[in-house]
Amino acid sequence: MAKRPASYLFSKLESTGFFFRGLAGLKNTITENENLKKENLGLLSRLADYEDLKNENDFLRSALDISPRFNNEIVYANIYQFQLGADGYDVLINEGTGGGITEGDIVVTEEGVLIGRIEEAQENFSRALVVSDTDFNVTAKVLDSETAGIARGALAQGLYFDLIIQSDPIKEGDVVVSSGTDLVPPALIVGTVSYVETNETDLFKKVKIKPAMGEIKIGRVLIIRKNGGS
Amino acid sequence: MAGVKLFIIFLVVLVLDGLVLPAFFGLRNSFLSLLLLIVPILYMGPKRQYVACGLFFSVILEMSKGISLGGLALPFLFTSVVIYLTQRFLDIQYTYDARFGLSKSVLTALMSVVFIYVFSFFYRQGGVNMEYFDPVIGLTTVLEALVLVFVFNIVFNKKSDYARI
Repeated sequence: MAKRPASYLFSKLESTGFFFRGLAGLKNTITENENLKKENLGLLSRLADYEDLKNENDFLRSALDISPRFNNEIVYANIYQFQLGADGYDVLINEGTGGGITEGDIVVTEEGVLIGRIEEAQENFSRALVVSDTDFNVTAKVLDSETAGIARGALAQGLYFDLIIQSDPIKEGDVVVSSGTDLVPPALIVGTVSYVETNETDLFKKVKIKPAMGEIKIGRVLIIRKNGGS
Repeated sequence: MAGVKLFIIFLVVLVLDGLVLPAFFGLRNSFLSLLLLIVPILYMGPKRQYVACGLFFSVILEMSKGISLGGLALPFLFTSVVIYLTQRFLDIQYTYDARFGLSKSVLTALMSVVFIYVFSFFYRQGGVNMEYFDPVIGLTTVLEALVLVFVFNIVFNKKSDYARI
């Protein structure tokens, strides 16, 4: 019971804060609205493609008797504290081992944005490392591209995208998602590429990622259990 | 009396840091609660009373932030010793006179940022996280320290609140 008021307050304050920050950005609303409409049409088209592919994929999986690609159990929870401590970023979540949470579970938002990974689970709460913490890393790829590497946290700098060789196509604004080749499920949004530095004398490009979780509400989250809930 | 005032400031900081600042203002680089451990002994001198207050606050912070027992208290003690030695041997008693001066306040704020890095060094048991030397984090910490120092300027205005080493 004692864990609920803080998470409720966090969620309400976050919504109010977003409202006021939205008011401050009202002057750009018309341009932003036009861009969003354009982007929405593009996304609808891709959604139609996605639905078609999903149906085809489901049919082929059942025909070939392959188990579903994603069958992990999901737990709903709330964040009630976001802190930069002496050791890095972490968040406290109001679900712990009592709710079936274990270390290594993945924390995402309802929109599929990667928040972090459970580092420590207690009976009633758990602590998660945030994607921009220096101890966090995830294998990731650029959406609609073969470019892949390892995204690692860099605190206020967001994330660094390592192991991107000079010939890999990547540009600012590209969306980076988890590739699913480690313990993090695939297709979770990590962020957008904010900086690319190309130097022919170096083997790898210097790439920075702006975390997607910086621009959305993170009060309510989903926890994807690594063991499929078993 | 100074302890009571300090405790009230601590309670406000406890609510601000981690809850109000990130949720309402979107500020996610706040060191406010750690600053509140450092600033009192830097501002008023490492008196036994303020070290004890800092220890008490450390334990409450450990509980509220889910850190294991001693996780903050021990680095705080080590940092206090460093502050004591710095003030004792280098004779840097920068805050005791002309407390309301802007330059003294800025100097104290800058010193507290340096000692936050010292605190972090002890917290990581000798490890240094280079990502902390970031302009965004540094500037946020300086501004927060300045705000705390200005609050202290207003709240602690009696001679008895200060120690001379």
